[in-house]
Amino acid sequence: MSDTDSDGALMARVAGGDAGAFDRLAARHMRRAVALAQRMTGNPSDADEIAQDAFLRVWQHAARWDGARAAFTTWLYRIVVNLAIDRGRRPGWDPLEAAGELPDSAPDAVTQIAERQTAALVNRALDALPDRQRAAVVLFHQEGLSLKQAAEILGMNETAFASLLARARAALKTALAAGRMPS
Amino acid sequence: MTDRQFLQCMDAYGADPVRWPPELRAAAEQALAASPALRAALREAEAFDGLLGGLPPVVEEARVSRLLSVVGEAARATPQNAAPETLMVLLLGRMPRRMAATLCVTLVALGWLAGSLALPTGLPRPPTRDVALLSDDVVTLFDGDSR
Repeated sequence: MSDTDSDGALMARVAGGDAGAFDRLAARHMRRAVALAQRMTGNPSDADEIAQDAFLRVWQHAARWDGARAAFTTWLYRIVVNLAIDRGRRPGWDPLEAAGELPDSAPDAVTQIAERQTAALVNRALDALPDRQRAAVVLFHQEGLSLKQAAEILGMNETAFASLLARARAALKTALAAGRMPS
Repeated sequence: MTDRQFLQCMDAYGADPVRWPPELRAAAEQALAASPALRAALREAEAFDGLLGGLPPVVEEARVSRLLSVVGEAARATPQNAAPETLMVLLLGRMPRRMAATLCVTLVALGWLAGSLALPTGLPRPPTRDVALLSDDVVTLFDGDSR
């Protein structure tokens, strides 16, 4: 990626009202933003709305992004996570039982059912976590971000994030041990 | 790193020492190499981490294309917000935060110095006037009726 095509360079152009640069930036990051939103909400239609809303905010507030303080992806993921948490707090919000799609290479029907049951159990345990604990697990374990990146997205230092993650992992371990895990 | 410390870190950060804080990694690898019990615990933790990883949501190409089309149109129909300009930014222009903080501290110090030079400490201070507002002088917009 050349300097003129970097996220920072594109954001500078977006801040100046360049819709073409915005299209390139959105094309580069949309898939991951939607996936993150879907991990957070467990609901594809909510994830689509959150991703659209997040990119519209990127467009509207591009001039506020400060590349010296945070990478563009950190800023974008923070917007997505905050929108997902806000949506979860709305009255009447009800996540679908989205256990994810199984890959075509799954060996057989029994294995598929077992994996789906396991995924549903993990999703239920995740849904029961407080918002920020769920976000910590999604960012670190599911999105594979580093401690530093995940902490920045949640606006905390690494020590506080590690503590949040440890509480989430302990709660999940207890919840999954209490449920019946398909073998 | 003791076995106990290793297990605490594993509970907090997961089963992959490569993803632990950098300052812990070397000691963790040493502890792991020296202890079969830790290696067994690590295998259990890997299974747990595998569950947490979950199945990645499928985001089809058509879905991404539709979203890109929607946000592209929405952006072109939406005005952008300018960066918030504070009074200091308007007066002094944009500058690094550290420089702005230094400038503010300098201005405060100069103001304090100028004030103390202008008013010698030996002179009597002008008397202050106590001001009291009579209730009739206070304009009240709320009449107390909650309706």
